[in-house]
Amino acid sequence: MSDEKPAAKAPAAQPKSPAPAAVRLESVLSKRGYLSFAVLLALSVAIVPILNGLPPDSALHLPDYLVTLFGKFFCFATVAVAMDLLWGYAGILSLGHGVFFALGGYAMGMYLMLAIGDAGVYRSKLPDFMVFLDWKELPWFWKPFDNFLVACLAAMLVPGLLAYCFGFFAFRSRIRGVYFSIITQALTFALMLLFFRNETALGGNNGLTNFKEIYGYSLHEQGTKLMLYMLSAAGLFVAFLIARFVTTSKAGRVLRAIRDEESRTMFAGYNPTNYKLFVYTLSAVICGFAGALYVPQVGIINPSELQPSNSIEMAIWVAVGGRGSLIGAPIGAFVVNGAKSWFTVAMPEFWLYVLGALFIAVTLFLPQGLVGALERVRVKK
Amino acid sequence: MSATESAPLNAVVEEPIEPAKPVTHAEAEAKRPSDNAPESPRKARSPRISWLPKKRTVDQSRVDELTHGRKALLCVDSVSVSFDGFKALDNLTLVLDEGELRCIIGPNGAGKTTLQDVITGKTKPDTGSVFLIGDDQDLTQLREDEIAQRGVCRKFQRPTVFQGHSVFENLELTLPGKKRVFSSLFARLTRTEREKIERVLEIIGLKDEAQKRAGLLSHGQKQWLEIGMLLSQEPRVLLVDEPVAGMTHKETEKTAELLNGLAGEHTVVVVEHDMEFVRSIAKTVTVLHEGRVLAEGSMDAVQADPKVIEVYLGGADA
Amino acid sequence: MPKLFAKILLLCALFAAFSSPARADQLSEDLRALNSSDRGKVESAVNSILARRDAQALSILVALLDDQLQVDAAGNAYRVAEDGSVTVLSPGAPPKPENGKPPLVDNQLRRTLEPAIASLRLTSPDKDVRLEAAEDLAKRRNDELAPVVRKALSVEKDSEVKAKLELALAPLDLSGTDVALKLRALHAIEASADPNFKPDVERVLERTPSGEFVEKNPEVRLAADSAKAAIELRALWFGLIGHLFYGLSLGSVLLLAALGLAITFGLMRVINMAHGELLMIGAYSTYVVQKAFQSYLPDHSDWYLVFSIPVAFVVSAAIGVLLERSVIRFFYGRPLETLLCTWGISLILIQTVRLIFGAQNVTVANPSFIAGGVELLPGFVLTYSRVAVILFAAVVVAFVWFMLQRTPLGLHVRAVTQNRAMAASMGISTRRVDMWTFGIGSGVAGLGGVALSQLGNVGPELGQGYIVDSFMVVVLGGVGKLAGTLAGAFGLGIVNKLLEPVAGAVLGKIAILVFIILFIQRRPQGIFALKGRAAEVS
Repeated sequence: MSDEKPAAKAPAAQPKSPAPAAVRLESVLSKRGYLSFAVLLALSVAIVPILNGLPPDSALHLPDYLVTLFGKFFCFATVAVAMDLLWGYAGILSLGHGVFFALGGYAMGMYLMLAIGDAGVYRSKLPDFMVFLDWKELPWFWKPFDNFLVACLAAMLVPGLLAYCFGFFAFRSRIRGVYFSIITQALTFALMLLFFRNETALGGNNGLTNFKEIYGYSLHEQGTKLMLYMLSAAGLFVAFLIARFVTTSKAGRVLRAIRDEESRTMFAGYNPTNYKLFVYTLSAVICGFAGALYVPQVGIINPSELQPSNSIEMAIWVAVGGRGSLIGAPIGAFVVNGAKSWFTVAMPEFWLYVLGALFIAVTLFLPQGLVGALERVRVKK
Repeated sequence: MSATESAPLNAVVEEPIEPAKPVTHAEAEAKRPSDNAPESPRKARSPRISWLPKKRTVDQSRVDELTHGRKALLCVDSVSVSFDGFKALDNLTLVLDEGELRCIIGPNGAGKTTLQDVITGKTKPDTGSVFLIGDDQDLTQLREDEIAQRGVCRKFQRPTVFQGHSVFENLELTLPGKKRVFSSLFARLTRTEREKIERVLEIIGLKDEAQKRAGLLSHGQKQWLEIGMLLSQEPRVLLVDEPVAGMTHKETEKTAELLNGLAGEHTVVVVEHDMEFVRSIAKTVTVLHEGRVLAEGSMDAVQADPKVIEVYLGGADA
Repeated sequence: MPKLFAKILLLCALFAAFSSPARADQLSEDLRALNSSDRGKVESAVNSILARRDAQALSILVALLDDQLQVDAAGNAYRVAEDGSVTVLSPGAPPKPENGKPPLVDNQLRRTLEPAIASLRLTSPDKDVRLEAAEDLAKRRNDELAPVVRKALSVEKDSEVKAKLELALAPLDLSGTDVALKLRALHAIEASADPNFKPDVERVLERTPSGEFVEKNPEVRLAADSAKAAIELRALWFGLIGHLFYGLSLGSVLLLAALGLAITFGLMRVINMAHGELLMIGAYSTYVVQKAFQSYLPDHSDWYLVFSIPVAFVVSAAIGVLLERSVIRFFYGRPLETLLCTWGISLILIQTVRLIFGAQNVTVANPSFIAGGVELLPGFVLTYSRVAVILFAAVVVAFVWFMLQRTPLGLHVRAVTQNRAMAASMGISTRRVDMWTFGIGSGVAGLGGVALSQLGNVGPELGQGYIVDSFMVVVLGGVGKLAGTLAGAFGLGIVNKLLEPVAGAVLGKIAILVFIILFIQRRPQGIFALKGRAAEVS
């Protein structure tokens, strides 16, 4: 029974007596929580650039490619936090978060495409693929992406808007549980087909790639890469704080109430649709943010990011780490993606077996994920 | 819930019953200034996108016809509901007075649950309307949460509490007001709200369990917590579904006391099978049969009604 | 064409019965002469055969024109079609040509042959032969034959043949100047509504760059307008019929894919994301059976399909039962976990198949009895394999319905679906029912795989494309209702195919998704809604 309520332990971890309505920030994290938060943040942001800065012959030197890899991991971990906010606290398993991630990525990719200017293969102001398709003018919706700030905003607002519209209809008609999961899969699938088309004006099959610079800094410089890494690491912590703010608020308690007893919540006067819509949209915005940081680091965004299987993989990050704690999810993202990076190099044909086994093992034996398992061990002692 | 839990159940229930009456009294006093509490969120409500035509208003002459001089609060006006041809409610009309304790009885399939579903918005009737006096909004056009915010509350048959939340949080969630997303995102408990929760905790005797997860409470404690949640919700109309199902004789007695205490301040509708229990609390009884009102009146009058005897009491009930 | 051919053969036999041996000898001589390298000899032989003006001569000349004639040393004529089938054209000849030689036909000979054959056919006493010839001419549009056609038209009495002849002349008449002929041509085109003549009609309606009509006569333009409208209307109808058929075909594929799901998800509430892989395994079973037949029973290789049906069912069902026993039974009542877990299983199944059979697609050939198709209407080919899949889907639905409604197992399944606890207390072993239900659902998925293998390539990722669509079908149709699944599958299939030409495949897909979401707004329980208490089980 309790397997279904993974967050059950979370409230126990919250401050014992709700502090007399003083500073709301205090309920977000305990004092010790803030301290460890700050330490972890500093460590994550600083340690990689420091190790990377060591001389190459040093034993602790971190190769450049690992910096990018870790940057990617932090983006994934941010997505995992967004997923956990939705799944762990509101009980909504979205299997379409790849859409929001990719939309954020495309928004940034469009800016990066335009930032190439006429340094492309065809020496044209237009992105290369448009020249290739013999287009004469930039489509209207590309024009604002000239501006870095607009692109950054769009990377979050476009996924948010899509989530709001989609969620509005889905939650309004009380689509929940697996039905919602399946419908989000269909959404991903449909959008993937859409982005594969050349007519969508987003590079079709090949997507957007061959970026040169971001905000005036060359993407090939190690300094830029480190900066992007640090932003990704910091981004995770910002996302965590936002999510934590929501889950410790009364709204967070309402969300968990909706998850556990939706009709009771309704008869208590709350409109579950609005709450779900809020958390779904917020989650999509965070995903878009992560996607926008991801693209300049990997240097490409194409419709394969929208594959339904990608979105399902995101769910397993959260499941592995443990739902409903906000800490487990990023850990899961690191573990799964670390394993993926290693396996796909060392023995690629077995990666799917490992991933498949992970899905089965976690759902079967670790319903609370790694964090839950650790907690259980600690409690036993 | 097994017999093993009945022991702590007794122990816990023992305590709250004594103060039940006095505190409802105190409650009444505390409530005086906010008497029209359910009124205020309604006024604050901003227009919201909806595909439903919400402004179906109630004809005043019809209201007078239904209530003619009574101090009525809730009217169910010629409501019909059918499921796949089966008429669960058949042109049912029911008027509840302010502060009344009404018992609704009837054999299985009489439409008792459907009636509650219609009043609380879970089921949309095919025809007919439901409205509160002094409010021209037809409740059947509203969502469940909107009806709840207008002060119509419901207690499920199975104790339904938020298992993952602490007892305190359970009560916090049901406090009136601040139900929109953004207000609850930045909401803080005010002193009066905190005091109110403390008071309810005292009534239901769960003061020491305030920080305990509700899922860990015993069956009886959960029942009391849910009643506490309804209290903190400040309802105008309270629908209670089989409150004594699975209770011992002693617990039943105490529940009767509590419900009697609630009536007067709130309009209480009790749906019940247990005749003994109904007799112990009810002044007015409504007998439903096949989706219609078969008889209405005092328990004695109803029990003497030959129609009732035939369909209901004629059996080996109670 | 085959009809004409049969007629000719029949006539041929009749003539053969009456023709004298001398005439026959003359014919074989002429036929032998066809293979001569002397042009003059060949021409006189052709003229000699033409002069016979009988059906046998006609069939020989048609075969000659089609480059399918072969003449053996004894002067016997055969028609050897491209696929190697042989028709004997000389009575009494051996069934297969020995050292048959195909006479060479050059363009000059062709120019003599064509009008000659045309007039031969158009003057045939048999109306069907004339009609066939006229249709042929209308299709071939050879202006050089116009004189022959005009002559035939002037003597033709039958209105059907006349219309066709007018049609054959239409392109020529339209490019001429005679208004009466133009009108006649346009009326003929309008009556036929044949899309092949659309360019001709459009040419009449052309304007010069300055915006004036090329055709000055308004009456002609009016006739052309209505001819064009008729053509377009017909094209629309035919397009609609074609799309309906493809929709029906897609619908039955979806139905086969979703039917197993309707059982496992609809009845047991198990979200089996590996369902698509069970389809894939069914398709691979078909492939393996085909391979086995090719190796061990090459003479009966067509029968592999029949055998693969039970094999696919059993293999998929066995895997399904294995899954249910080993994993899924731990997840009853926890749909989200089931979803993730079965997704993991699907990854493992895909990778296993990939390691065994390779990542490349394998081909499963259609057996000869469902290979090919027939062109019912221009541009619309009714492929037999699609028809077979539609029929197969019907049979499988009947099977599932029978299983659920008329067998003790079905009774138990329905009982467990409605009230598990009650069923258990009535002495039904719910665990065994679960196992069997899941097995049958999986087996039905395997049957769907057999059907899929007949329509396209078989690859490890075959199932992935169907899983979301299948769920859509089940959700749209209403969970737990077989009739709903049926309606959902055909509804989606037909709407999809009707939308495709209008909106394109991708936008069509998106439109359908939007449609489903909006539909669920109005009817959250699907097409076949359960209302009241029964609906709350979900």
